[in-house]
Amino acid sequence: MRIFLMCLGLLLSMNVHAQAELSLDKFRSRLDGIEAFKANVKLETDIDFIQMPVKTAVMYYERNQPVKVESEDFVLVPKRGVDLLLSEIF
Amino acid sequence: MQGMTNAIIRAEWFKLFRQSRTWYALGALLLLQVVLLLNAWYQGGSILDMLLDNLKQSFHFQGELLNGHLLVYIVLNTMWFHLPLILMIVVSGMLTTEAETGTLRTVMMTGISKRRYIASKFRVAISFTALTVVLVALTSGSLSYLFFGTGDLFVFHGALNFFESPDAFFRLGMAFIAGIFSMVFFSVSSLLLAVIFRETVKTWIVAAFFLIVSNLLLQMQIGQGWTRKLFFANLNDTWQLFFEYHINWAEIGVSLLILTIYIAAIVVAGIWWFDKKDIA
Repeated sequence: MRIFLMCLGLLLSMNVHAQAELSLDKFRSRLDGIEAFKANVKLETDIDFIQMPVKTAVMYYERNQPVKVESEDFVLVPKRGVDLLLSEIF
Repeated sequence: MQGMTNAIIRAEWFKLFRQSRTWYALGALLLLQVVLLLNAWYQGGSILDMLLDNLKQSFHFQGELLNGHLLVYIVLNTMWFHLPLILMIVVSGMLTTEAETGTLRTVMMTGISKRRYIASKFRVAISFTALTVVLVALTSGSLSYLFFGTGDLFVFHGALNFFESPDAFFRLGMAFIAGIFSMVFFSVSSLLLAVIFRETVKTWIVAAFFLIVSNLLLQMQIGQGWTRKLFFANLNDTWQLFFEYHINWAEIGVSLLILTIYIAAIVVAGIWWFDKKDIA
């Protein structure tokens, strides 16, 4: 009985893992399908020696191009962190 | 009585604007602003680059910091030395010129009350000072916004503070209003010195010395707690408090109130001294 339960547990966990892999593959392929997008972003600065109100900006993503951030206000855009490629998430 | 006082005040205004010294001073202030604007035009970008060099290594900057607000802020900084010096020269001249040319003795012979006469001079000096600061605010604002537009204001005050355009406009306006109190303090001080010394050059030298010492004492930030708040030299940078990220209205209000008490005390001392002293 104990061996049966262990085998059942193993089969279930393998199934869950396989399902997770499948979902991830689907998600990855959907991300790969994104050519470009535009998003409204809020930029909040949390640095001791800088006091700045929350800023709004528009972020433009285009495949294989650097991310662009545009704003009518003055904004500080970190050189590292924003320039992500969607394929780099996983 | 009131009619007589008004007539003296009108005469003081007339005499003030009849003096070429007054127009030279106003012209110098306007020219100073043009020079500051030209300097900003040529060097502003590199100065900002130097100040923000470290930040630029980690961040991309989106937007223009060299704008009209920054220029008005630079003009505002003439309130440390240039503006009070020019005001002191003009205001002290309101009395010393009359004392040197003999006009003062002639006027006193007409039977005008000495107290009323000098009080009118103090009133005109205070109004002229306030008007000059407003003029500087208007001319610097119109020139700066016309040529450099608006944007966020960047100032270094304890931290790197960034203010959005409408907020920057409000803070600059309030700083000019607070600055009027400091400028009036120096103006009435110079008129008190004119009452004491009566000679133009001697008064200018002492007034300039007083201004320099006040600035040095301000840098030293003498005193602790309440004594620090009460010391006159420490009150003359009250306008700077509008560039702290969170405006401390209570502190600004107390500082301006104490400054007003100092101004009133100087005016009373000036009237008393003039009344006591014989007109030679």
